Amino acid sequence: MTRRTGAVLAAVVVLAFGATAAADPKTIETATATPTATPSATATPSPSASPSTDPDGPDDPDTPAEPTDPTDPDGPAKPEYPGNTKGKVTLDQSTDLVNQVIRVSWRGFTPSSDAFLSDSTTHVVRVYQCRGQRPETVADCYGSGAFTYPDKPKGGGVLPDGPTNAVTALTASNGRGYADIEVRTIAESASLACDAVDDCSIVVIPNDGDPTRPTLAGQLATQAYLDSDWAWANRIVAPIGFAATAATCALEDADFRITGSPQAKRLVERWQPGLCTSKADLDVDYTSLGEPLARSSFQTNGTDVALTTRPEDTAPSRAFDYAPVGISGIAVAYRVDDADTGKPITGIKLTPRLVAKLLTTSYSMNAACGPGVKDCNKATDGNPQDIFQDPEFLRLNGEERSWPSMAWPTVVSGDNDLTYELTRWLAADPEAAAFLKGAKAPGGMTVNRNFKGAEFPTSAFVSRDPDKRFVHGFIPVFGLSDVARYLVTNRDNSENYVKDQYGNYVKTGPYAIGNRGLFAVVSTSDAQALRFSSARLRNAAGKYVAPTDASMTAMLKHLKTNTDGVTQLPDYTAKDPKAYPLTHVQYAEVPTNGVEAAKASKIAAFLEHAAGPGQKAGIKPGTRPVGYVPLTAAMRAQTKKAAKNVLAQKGTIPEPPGAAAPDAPAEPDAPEPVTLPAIQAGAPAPMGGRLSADAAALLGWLLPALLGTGIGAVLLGPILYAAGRFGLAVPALPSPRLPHVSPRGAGRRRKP
Amino acid sequence: MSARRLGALVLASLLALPCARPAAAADFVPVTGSGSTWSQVALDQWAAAVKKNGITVNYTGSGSTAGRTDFRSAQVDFAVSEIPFQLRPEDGSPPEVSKRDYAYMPIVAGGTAFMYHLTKNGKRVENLRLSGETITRIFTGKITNWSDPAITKDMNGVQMPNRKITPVTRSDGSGTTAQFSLWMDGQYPDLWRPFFKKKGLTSYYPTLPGGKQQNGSNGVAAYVAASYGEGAITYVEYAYARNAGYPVVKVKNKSGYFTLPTASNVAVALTKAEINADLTQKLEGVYNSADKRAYPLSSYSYMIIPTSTQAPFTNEKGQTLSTFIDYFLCAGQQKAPELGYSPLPKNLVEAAYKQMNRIPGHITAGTDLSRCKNPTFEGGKNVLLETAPQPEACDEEGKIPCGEPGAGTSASAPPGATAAPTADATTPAVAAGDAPVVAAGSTAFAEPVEVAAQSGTALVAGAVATAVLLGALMLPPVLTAYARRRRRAGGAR
Repeated sequence: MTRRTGAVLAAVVVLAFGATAAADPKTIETATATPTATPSATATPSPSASPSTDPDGPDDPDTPAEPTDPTDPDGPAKPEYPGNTKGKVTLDQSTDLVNQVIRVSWRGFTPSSDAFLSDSTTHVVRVYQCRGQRPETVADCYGSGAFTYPDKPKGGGVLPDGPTNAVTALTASNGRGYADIEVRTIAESASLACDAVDDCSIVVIPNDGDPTRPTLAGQLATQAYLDSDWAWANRIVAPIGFAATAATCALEDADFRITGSPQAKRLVERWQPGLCTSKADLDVDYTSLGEPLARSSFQTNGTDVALTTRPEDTAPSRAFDYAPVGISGIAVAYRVDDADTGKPITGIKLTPRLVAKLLTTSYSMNAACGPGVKDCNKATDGNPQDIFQDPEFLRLNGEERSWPSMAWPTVVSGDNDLTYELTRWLAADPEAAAFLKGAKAPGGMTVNRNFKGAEFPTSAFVSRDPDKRFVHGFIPVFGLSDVARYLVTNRDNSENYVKDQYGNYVKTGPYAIGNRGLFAVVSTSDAQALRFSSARLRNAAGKYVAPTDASMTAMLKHLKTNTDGVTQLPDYTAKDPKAYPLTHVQYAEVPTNGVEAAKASKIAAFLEHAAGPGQKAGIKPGTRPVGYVPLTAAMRAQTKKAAKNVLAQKGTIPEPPGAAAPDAPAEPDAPEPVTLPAIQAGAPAPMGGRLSADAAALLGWLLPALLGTGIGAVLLGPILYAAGRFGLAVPALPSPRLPHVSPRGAGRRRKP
Repeated sequence: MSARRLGALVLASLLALPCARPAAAADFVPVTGSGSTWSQVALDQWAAAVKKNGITVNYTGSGSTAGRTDFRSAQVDFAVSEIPFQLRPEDGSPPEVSKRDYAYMPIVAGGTAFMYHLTKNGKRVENLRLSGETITRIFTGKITNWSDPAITKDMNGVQMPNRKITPVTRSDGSGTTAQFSLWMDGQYPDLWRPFFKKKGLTSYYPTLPGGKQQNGSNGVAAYVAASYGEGAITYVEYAYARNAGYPVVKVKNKSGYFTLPTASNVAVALTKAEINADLTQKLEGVYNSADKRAYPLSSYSYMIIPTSTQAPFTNEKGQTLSTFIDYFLCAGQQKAPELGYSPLPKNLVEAAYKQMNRIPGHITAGTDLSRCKNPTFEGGKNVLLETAPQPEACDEEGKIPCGEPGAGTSASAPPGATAAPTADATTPAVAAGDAPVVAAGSTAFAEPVEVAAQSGTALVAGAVATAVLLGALMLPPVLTAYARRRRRAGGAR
C-alpha cells in the first residue's frame, strides 16, 4: 500500500481560485492578491454512500493540496473577473485513480435558481476533467466547446475520444451540491492524456453570471455561459493523480475461453490483466452471455469454461466440476431526484411486492384512465400512475416528500439466471406472490391484467402489455452491462410512441439531473462501480437491507445446496434480519476430461487465482472489485479441488440433475411457482411464452426419453411390423422405453 | 500530444517492427465507431475482450444509416454497416458521399433470420419453414394469416393456426432492412417492387398495413418475444433471436431444403459470395446457392475504415484500430457461433487484412495466417465448411416437416441433446466453431438433424438417416398393429 493509495478514500483537495491563478500565467495578478489565495485543505470523510472497499482503509485522509508557486503572470488579456473565495470542493478520491467514477462535492456555492436544470436555470455548476494540474483555459477541459487537441478540425465540435464526461449539476439552497464524474485515463481519453506521470484536474465551475453586468444574471448565469470567462474565473481546481498504468496483457491468443454470467463480468475483467502479467502468464478470453446459453455452449464444447449461477438443468454431456469463483448480487438501482430540491434521494426501501409492481409494468404510467381520457390503458386502470404515487411506496419512503415522475424501469432481455433468481425471490414472498396471482395490494392496486397466466419464476423479462405507450416504453435491454449504461447516462430504454417525420420512434433522451425517476435491475458490481443507489429490499425477516459486503456475506449462511452436492442457491425464506436476499455465487463449469494438459493447467491456474489472490479486495489488476464479496473457505476449498480435477483430467460425466433438488428446477413446480390459468387462448406461459426453466428441465428429461423411444421404435419397427403383418405373437415388450438409446450417448465426448 | 508521448510512440513503433504485434499496450489511444445493430452483439464482445490489452473501442449501435452519416460527418473514427455508402440510392434519398477516404472491410458473417412467435394447440411452434416467396408475400402484405395456403404448402400440408400475422419491421434506418429488401428486390422483384413502388433496396421499411414497427434490432426482437407478440414475425440477425430464446424460420434454399442460419449454413452459403474490388458483396450467388445446406439470407457486415488521417483520425488511432481488427479477424471470430454469427472464411479474412493495411499507422499483421485462430481455417482448411452437417431428409421440400408426427425425428429435442458432437467424428476445432450454434438452437427450438448428420463418416450418417427415415415410414402401421394387439394406444410419440 503506497502512500498515495492510502489517501484513496478521503483525499480532499480544496483550492480557492487564487491559488491556481497564482501559477497561471494567463490569469491576472490581482487574483493572486486575494486574501483567500492560500491553499487550504479540509478532511471530509467520503460520502456515506461510498462503496469502496479498500481493505486497508483510509489511513491518510489529509492530503494537502499541492503548494502553488506564485509567479508573476503576464498582463491581463481578458476582463478581470473575481475568483471564487467562498466555495470548497471535496473529492472522495483524488489519487491512484483508474477509469472510475468519483464524487465531487461542494459547499459555499450560490444556490441554483431551480430544482431542475433547464435553459433558464441560473447558478448552474459544471464539473470538468481537465488537462494538467492547473488548466490554463477551459480549452483544456474535455467536453467544453473550446476543447483543443491535436488535429482538431477547423469547425471543431467533434470530440476525439467519444462523448464528454463533463457533468452539469445544481447547488441546493444550503449551498451544497455534488456530481459523480467518470474520470478517464489516457486509455479512455488520449486527448486528456492523464496518467501516473501527467496529472490532471477536476475543475468545478459555478456560473454566477458576469459580475460586471449583474442585471443580466438571469441570462448570463445559465448553462449557456458555463464556458464564459467569468465562469472560468470563478472555478475551483482540484488536482487528481492516476495510478500507474494499469497492467495490460500482451497481444497474444488466449489460453482458453470463458463464457457466461454477465454478473461476473467486472470480476473477470479485473482478473484478466492481473493474470496475464502474473507468473501464471495466463491470457483468458471472456464472453459475457446469458447463463442458459453459456451452459449449453459449454456442454457442446463451444467454450472451455462456462460461468453460471444456476446449475445445469439437463443431463450433462461433458465431464466437469463446478468451481465457485465469485459472489455478487442483484441490485434494484435507481436515480431518483427530489422534485423540490432536485437533489438525489437515497435510502429508498422496496418490498418484494413493490419490485413485482415495477417489473410487471403494473403502474398506469402515461396511459392512466380518468375522466375525459380516451384511449387509456384498461390493463392498469385504477392503479397508481407510478411508484411515487403508490401508497405502499409512500408509506415506506415518505409521504410528505416531493417525488418526481417515474421513468420506465430498465431490465435485461433474454434468458438470464439473474432474471430467474430475481423472480424466484418474488415468488417466494407471500405478498408478492399473491399480488402476481391477481390479489389486490393494499390500496386496491392489482397486477397488470396482461400478466394473467404469467408464470414465476421466469428466466426472461418480456413485455406483456400491448398498449402502444407500454410497447414503446418497457423494452428490455440486450446485455446486463448495457442496462447499467442506460442508468449511468440517465436514460431508460423507452421511445416516443408517436413516430417522427421520418417514421421513426425516436429514443427518449437522457433525463435532466434533478428530474430523474429511474430504476434499473443491475448487478451489485455495476451498481457499486458506477455509484448507483441501490434499493434496500425487504428480506424474509421483514428488514430493509441494502446490498453491502456485510449484508451479502450474511446471506451466505442461507444458501441451500442443490442435488449436485456443490452448487448453492439462496433460501429466500431465511429469516435473517441482516441478510441481503439477492446474493448469488457464480460457478465456473470446468472440464475434467478430454482437455489437453497445457490448456488444463491454464484453467487450473485460473481456478487457483479465483480461490486465492482473486478474492482479495483492491483496485489493482487481479483483485476483487467492489460489488463482490469473498468466497467462503469452503467454497475456496471446492475451487481448489476442482483445479486438481482439471489437472488430473480423469473426470466422468456427472449424473443428470436429480429430481429432488430443493432449488434445482427438476420439477415443474419446484420453487413455488405462481401461476394463473391463462384467460386467453394459448399456453399458460411464462412472461414471454417461454418455457419456464422448470418445464424445460422436465422436458429435458422427457424428451430424451421420447427420442429414445422413437429410436427404439425405429429399431423395433420392422420387427413389430413383420410381427403384426404375419400374425406372430407380439411380445409384451414395453417398446417405447429404451432410455439408453438416447442421443446423449452418442454425444458424450471422451478424449484420451 | 506531449513530446514524451510522441517519443514513446516512436519508440513503440520501432520496437514493433521486428515482431508482428506490438507488446507495448500503454500507447493505445481510444477509437470510436457507430452504426449497425446487426453486428453490434459481436462488436460489443470484441471491444470488451481487448480492454485487457489496454485498448478502448467505443461503439454505439445507432443503426447502419446513422453510422454511415456519422462517418461522413467525421463524428466517428469508423462505422459499421451492412451496406456500402448509397451513392445512387434508388429509393430517392440523397446520395451518401464521403469526403473522408475510406475502405470497406468485412468483419463478421451472419444470417438475417426470421424470428417468430406462434402458438398452436397451446404449444409454441418451433419448426416453421417457409419459402422465400412466402416470406416476401408476408412482408409485402400479401399473406396476412398464418393459415394461408402458401404457408400450409411450405409446411407440406401442416396447417398453422388461423391467426393474423403481425410483420414487425424496423422504424429506424437499418442495414438489416437494407439487406432484407435487397434480397427481396433481387429474388422477388415482382412482389417487392409493386409494394415498394420503386426498385432496389431501402434502409427505411415502407409502412406495412397490419404491421408493427420498432426502433433497433433489440426493439423488433423485444416485440416478437413479448406476450402480445403472438403471431408476430420479424427479420433480425440470428444473435437477437438466440438471446431471446425464440425460434427462427427455416428458409427454403435453391435445392429445396429448408435451413437455419447456423454458423455452418451461413458459411456454406457465403462461399458463393462475389467480392467486388472494393470488397462490397454481391450476394446473388448466395441467394441462389445450390448447396443443400446454404442459408439464403447470409451476408457479412462491413466496417467502414478510414484510409487517411483526415480528422478525426490519426496514425495513433490507426495503430489501435488495426490491432483491434487483427484480434477480431482471427481469435475474435471464435466467439461468432456462440453469439449467433458465422466466422469469416479465409478468403474474406485475407481480403480484410489487405484493407486493414490501408489504415494509416496500421500494425503489421495478417502475413502469416497459419497463426490466425479463426475457426474456419484450422490447419489451412475451412473446417466449418467441411464439417457442416447436411440437412435432414425431413428438411426437404415435399417431406413432412421435421418435428411433425411422422417426420422421422422430433423437432422438440431436449436442450443440448442435438448439439452434442458425436465423439470421434469431429475435431476440437469444429466443436468450438460449429457446435454452439446448434446448441443455441436447441435451447429454444430444435435441430434434430444433427444427431444423424454430425456423426462423422458419411456412411454412418447415411445409415442412421436411412434408418430414421425408414422408421418414420414404417412406424405408423406398426404402432397400429401394436396398439391393436395391446388394446391400448401406443405411446410412440
